[in-house]
Amino acid sequence: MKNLFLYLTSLAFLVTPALAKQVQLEAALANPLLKSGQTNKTFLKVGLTGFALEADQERTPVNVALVIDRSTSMSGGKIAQARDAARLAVQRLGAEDIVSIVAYDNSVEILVPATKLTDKTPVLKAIEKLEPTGNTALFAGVSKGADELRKFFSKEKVNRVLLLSDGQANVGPRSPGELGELGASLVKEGISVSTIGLGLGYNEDLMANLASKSDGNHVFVENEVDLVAAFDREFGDILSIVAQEVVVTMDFLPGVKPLRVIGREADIAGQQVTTMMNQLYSEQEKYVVVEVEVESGKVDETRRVADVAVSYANLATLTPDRLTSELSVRFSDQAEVVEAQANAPVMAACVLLVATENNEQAMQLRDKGDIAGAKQALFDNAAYLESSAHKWDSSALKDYGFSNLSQSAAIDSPDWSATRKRMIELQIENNRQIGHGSGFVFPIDNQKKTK
Amino acid sequence: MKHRYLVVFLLLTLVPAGLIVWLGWRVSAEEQHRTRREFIAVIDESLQTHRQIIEDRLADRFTDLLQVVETARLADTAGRRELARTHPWVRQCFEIGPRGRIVFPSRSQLTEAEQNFLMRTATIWQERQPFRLVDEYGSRADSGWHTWYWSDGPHYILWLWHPATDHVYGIEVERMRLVSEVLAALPTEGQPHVSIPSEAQIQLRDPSGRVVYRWGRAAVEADASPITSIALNAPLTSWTLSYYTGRIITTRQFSSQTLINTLAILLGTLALLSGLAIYFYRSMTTQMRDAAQRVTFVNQVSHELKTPLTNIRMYAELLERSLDPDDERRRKHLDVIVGESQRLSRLIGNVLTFSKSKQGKLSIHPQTGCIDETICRLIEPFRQKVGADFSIEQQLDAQDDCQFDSDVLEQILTNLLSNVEKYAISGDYLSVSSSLSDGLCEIRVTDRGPGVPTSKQELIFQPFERLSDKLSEAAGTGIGLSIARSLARLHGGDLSYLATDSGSCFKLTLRVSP
Repeated sequence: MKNLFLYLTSLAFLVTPALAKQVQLEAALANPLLKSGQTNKTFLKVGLTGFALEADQERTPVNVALVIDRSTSMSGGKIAQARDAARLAVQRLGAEDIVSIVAYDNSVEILVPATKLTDKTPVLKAIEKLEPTGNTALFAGVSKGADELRKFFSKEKVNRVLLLSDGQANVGPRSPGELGELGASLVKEGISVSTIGLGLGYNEDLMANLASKSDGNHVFVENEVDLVAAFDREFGDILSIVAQEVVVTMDFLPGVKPLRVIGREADIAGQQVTTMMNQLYSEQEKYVVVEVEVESGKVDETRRVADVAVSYANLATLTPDRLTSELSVRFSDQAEVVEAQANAPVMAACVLLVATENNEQAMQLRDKGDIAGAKQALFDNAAYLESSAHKWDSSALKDYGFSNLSQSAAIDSPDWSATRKRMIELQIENNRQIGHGSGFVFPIDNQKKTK
Repeated sequence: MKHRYLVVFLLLTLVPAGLIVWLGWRVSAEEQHRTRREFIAVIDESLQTHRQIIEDRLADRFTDLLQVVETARLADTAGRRELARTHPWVRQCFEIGPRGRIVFPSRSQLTEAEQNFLMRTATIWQERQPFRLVDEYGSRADSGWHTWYWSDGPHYILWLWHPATDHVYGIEVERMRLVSEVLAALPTEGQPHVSIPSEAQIQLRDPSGRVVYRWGRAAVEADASPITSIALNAPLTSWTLSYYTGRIITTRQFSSQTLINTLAILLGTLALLSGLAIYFYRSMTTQMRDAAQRVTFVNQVSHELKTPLTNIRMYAELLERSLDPDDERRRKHLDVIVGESQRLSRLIGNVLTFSKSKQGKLSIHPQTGCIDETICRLIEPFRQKVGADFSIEQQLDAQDDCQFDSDVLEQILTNLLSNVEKYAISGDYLSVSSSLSDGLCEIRVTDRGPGVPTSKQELIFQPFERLSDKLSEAAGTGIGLSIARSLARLHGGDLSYLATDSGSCFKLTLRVSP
């Protein structure tokens, strides 16, 4: 459904070239019609969709640091696959791109300092030097990777650290909170960290926190043979970024109170909500959902709810762009009409976030040892998703319902570790709308010249 | 005798060897200490270099950050929030009023991040004056760092005092960014310009002692203690850079090397000293054996000489008796024969006594007799020898019979008189006195010859010592006085030289029994 929608919008952009190079802003309320005479709670969704990139179009050069765990746990197939994946990444990049490769164990070694990929041979040679040894200085590895990015840092490039780890961080800061703080600081510089957790030994909370606080992707790769594919997807994403430094500001008008933002970090200061995204991918929708409380209104009254403003750096035109939208709500005293007017796609998106929140709470119960409670919570969540999927005609909700059901079943099984990692991966995927990208594969040598 | 040589031998080898060992040990210990000090100095410099690298890297950032605080001071609420949202180093801005009142973030309208900030910093606001506005020199500082602990580690605030309003403005620094920046400044593996020895490692540790970063490929045990460490500068004053070495350069290694050296020196010295000692010991024993053989030989020869000499004397005396009293010329010839043979037998007697004394076989055989008689018996031939011009005084007062060895006395006196004859004949004077009291007989022999210089007065009693080896000097074996003294001492007395104005005076004492 969503894909179809995206397809249609992209078609629309193709027809109107003047708009084609702009991010599409779609702000909508879950219930554009509210019941009069009572205080209502509803959701506001601000969706941003990256414009399409065509095959003959020059893409934005990337500045990427591959930070690869080479602790002893990576021995054998894992390190071999990591080498393959890194080689693939280098092959996908072009002469205008910058790559650096950082390997860490007890300490950190910069295998390839940040360098333009005019000659791939030395880089590919350096990848061969990846051999497992020692502990896991994850924090230092990421720090060094980020520092390599800074050497060629440009807001007109895609700046990304790609972290691959299969183990616990055991040298340096190692708590999810600390790594989250690092991610939060990096994203303010315009650096996102995508994390790939390999196998069952890594700390998923840490890897997920680092990724989500820095607005990067997080992937769980259970089997190393899938590593190359994961890298491929990640680079598909990196190479399809069309906008950066996205700031969404929502000013709510009197009579409307923002309660919370679901699934993303945001500042709620009185009537103003501000949230940021580091990047938008081509033909991929990212959205922010705010739960709001609307004071009671009279029948047929139309009330302005919020002014939405989005600013971002357009990587196609290399200019700052600004989009605005206004949102209003009407009131009706007829419950059925109110119900019928509900915006199904928006509702589906909101339900997905709420269900994700439920899923997180269930996981917390499991972490505290309340297995039965967690099982029940997941089961209830599955039921909620199932009914909502039917109501809002959403396959995404249906899928997530199945996921919750199988998680509920697996919660007391021996491979809880894998399940937990999968749960976290899905939570981030839902909260930050990861993995719905176009998957468009770019020809290697088709890129924009940097200025 | 053998035993004594062994002791000397051991002393000669062991004492110097021990001394060398001790000195060697001291020197090597000192050397080791010095090497270690130099080593630590080099390491210290290396650590300071790295601290400087960190400081250089942070200095610009901190200057920027003070500018950011200034910007935050001038900004409104939205501007301050924007700063915290977009500046990679800024987690939160704040403003404090005169009496520690929090002006921003305002409690009336807090974002979630601001609520968290107030929770994190709650302990700070409990203090009356949260930031130390007085620096270490006592003057009021207008900016500074503040570190506090919350949850899982240290957090850092950079503050600025604005005198005009008396407000303090500040930012909470993104602490992980700060740490990340420090790590980014530090070397990675395989960077040639900052390489440290492969057996070393430098670790950066946070205030809880946790290793945050390290480089250097040495295998360092978790509980190993560093060679040396230094603290970082503000605000990271509780952070340390520590230098570790792996298992290769350890003190054990140092001392085993030293031990081997010392042992080698010790063994070499011992071998050398033993060689020397054995050489000397052997040559000494050879000499001793030779000397003993010589003494035995002289002894035998002397014995062999004694018999014919006695015969010569006896027959000369017989001949003298049967001589015509008027035949002066022949009598004179015979006197020479008798006198010379007496001299010869005295010399032989001396040699035999000397060799006996060296062999420890000398003994006395006291018999009842008169001391004065013995003296007179000896003076008579002396008088005849020296002639009428030589005046001889006698003050003899030991007429009483007593027990003494007349042979010994005779030998001593003969030697003394012989000396007068040889060296003091020019004085033309001899005085001999004797006395006897309380079982001690004292005899003085005085002449007016050239005497003995004060410095040589003891030397003359040493065997083979003679005052002059000039050929013109009188002949002599050089053992006379030595033998005389040995005999006197054997007899319970002594022989000593008394200083006089002119000439010599020998005082002889003998222990006698009535």
